[in-house]
Amino acid sequence: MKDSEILEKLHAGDEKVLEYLYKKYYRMMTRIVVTNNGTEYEAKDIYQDALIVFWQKAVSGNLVLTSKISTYLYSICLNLWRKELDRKSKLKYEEKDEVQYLEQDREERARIIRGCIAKLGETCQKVLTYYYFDGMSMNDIAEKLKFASTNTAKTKKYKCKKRLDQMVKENYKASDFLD
Amino acid sequence: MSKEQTTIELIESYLENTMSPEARESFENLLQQDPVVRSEFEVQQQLVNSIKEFRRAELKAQLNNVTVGVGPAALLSLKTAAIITITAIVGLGTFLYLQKEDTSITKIDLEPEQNATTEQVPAKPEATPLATDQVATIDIVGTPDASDQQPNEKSESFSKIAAPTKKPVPQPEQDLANQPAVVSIPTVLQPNKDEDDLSIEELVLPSEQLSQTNSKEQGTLAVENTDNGEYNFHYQFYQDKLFLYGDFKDTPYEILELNFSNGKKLFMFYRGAYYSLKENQIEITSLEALTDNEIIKKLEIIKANK
Repeated sequence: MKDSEILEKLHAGDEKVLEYLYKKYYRMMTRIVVTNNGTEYEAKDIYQDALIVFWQKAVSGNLVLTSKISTYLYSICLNLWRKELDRKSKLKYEEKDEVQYLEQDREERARIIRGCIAKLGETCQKVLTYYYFDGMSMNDIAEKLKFASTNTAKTKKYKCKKRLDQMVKENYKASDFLD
Repeated sequence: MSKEQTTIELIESYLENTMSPEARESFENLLQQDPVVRSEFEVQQQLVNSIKEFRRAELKAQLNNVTVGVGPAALLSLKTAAIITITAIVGLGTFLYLQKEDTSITKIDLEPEQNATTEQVPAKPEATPLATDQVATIDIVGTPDASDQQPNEKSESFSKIAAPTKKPVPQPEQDLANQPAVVSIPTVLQPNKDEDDLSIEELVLPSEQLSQTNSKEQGTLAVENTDNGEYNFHYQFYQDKLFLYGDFKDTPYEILELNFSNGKKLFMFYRGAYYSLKENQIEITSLEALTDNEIIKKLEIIKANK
């Protein structure tokens, strides 16, 4: 598949082509990490993250590609891995306790929210995730999820988000957020 | 709409970048001043982030399930294993093939190709006589090998044959190049122990014109004679055995072998005439007298020296 074709499909939110890309460049991209003090597990992780970054940009239409897809992916992988290496080395020197404490708080909240999202129906999940992560337009969401119209999509998103807010709030006292 | 709701919507539009630049600026001021708005803002931020994370995790799980085959490190070891396996198979195949070849070569060796230096020589010249309807005249033309020290032994063994033996093989080691040394044993008629196993030893010393490949000169020729009336003066070769058809009982015949540089040729002398015997003559064909005087001369020399 040519690059242009791939990009087209990506923009349409075609998840199959994402898998195609993944397989195509797996060895090439994982090699970066593996030959750079990384394990294969870490390499896979980094590659997956990089590919998802690429996906998000491509679907939301924020992608400005001036080179081959492989080149672009390569640079994302490289950057992510460098960041990870930095993070690993920094953790040795900074005060772990303090960092962990803050992290734990946010982690707790994040966990609750994750739980609430999981409890949403599949349609709500899709609408919200397509909207906030994939950056799809209401029009595209309506098309993809086979809604009657764009307005239906808009209303759906509004209702789903509201429900999520309420769920999360029910799991927290307001005072928790004032810390 | 409750205040909370408006706040949330405000925050949402800010986070989703649907505000005008002026509205953004006034909102940012509000954020700084109003802690409630600020806290709600944080919640909203985390919500959006969580939604994004949820989606990211979903995609990642999808990719993780994709089979990519082998990773780079594992691939290397897989390639190495494959190379080793293939080498082993090829090696084993070659070994087995060579083994098979060896056995077939051994079989050929078993055929009675005798070296002058082998010890088969003494045992060989046993002219087992024929039964009544099988007559074999065995002519042994003895050719000691140039390098061979055994000619005397041979001649002794020749003499064991139940027939009046001629003079033993001369000691022509010095004269090999020039004189054919011949030992021959005339016809013998005796009950045949082993009818099919007649052996003729023919050794031909090279004369000037003949080849000097002495080591190959000994051969055994099995001869079988059939006299059933259908063919009265014919011969054929089959599986290295000479079949004579006709009445050869009364008069002896001699088989002579001439070695040429390109091989050997068999001839028969019978009743004053020489006949060529083609060794690849599978079909029964009549014996044709030779007319080539040169060859006749050579054969006569050989015969005379018996």
